[in-house]
Amino acid sequence: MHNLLSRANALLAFTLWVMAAVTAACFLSTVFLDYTVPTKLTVNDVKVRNVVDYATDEQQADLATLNFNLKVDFSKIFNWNVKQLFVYLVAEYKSKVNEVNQVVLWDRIVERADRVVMDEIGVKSKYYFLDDGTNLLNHKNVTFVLRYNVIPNSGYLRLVQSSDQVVVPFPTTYTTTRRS
Amino acid sequence: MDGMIAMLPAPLQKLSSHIDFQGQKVAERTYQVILTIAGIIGFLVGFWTQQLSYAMFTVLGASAFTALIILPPWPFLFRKNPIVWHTPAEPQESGDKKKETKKTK
Repeated sequence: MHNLLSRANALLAFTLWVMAAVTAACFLSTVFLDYTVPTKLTVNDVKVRNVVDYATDEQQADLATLNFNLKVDFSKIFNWNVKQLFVYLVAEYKSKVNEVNQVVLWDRIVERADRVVMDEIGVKSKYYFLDDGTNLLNHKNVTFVLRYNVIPNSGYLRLVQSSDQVVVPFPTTYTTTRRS
Repeated sequence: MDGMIAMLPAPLQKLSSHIDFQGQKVAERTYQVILTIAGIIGFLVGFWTQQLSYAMFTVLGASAFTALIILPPWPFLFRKNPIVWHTPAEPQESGDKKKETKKTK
């Protein structure tokens, strides 16, 4: 503390301590909040095609196409410890070989300054819904659910599942036309 | 650091930023109190506006303000209690001291 540099050093060190304390207090003030929001999800126009897949032993794979409507309001989630959300739609089903199959069909980054109220109609899935065998045809219990990672300013990466989920029975016959 | 100071022009090198012992104590207590209060105010501001950046700017602003107070060696704050040194001791006295230290050994 006797000369300029040691005073500047002490001041900088203490400033960083205070900033760390404020950040930790910010985390503590948001850690017990409820981050679930209700969603309105409907899945339409499910078609299953049989495609050639050289990556698997069976060389046949089920490829599903669909579109969905999604209505969700994320504005409640965005508090002062939320930087952005990573929202993604998952299809979950059980097959003979695997107890749990999870396929991510669509995702979006929702930033705080962004449009946080979504009302999407007729969205096509972003990624292929491809099974590793022929389990999708006539599958009665494919569950669609919206999940999102809450990316915080401080604290841990939270994974939240929306409170609603949709169960869709898949068609019993293959679609053979090229375009839906 | 000394090398960097030696590179400065001569009039700047003569400037002293030293403050006395009482001043050091006051300066340390000053920044601790101001920044702690600023941290509490910053938390409330951030919580109220739901913007973490506003809390950070409050703390940083208080830090800049504190720097204005404690970094320059203000004579009316930190140089009010200069140390009064004794006059240099006589050569004989130093000789006595040497003898004393030898005895203790």
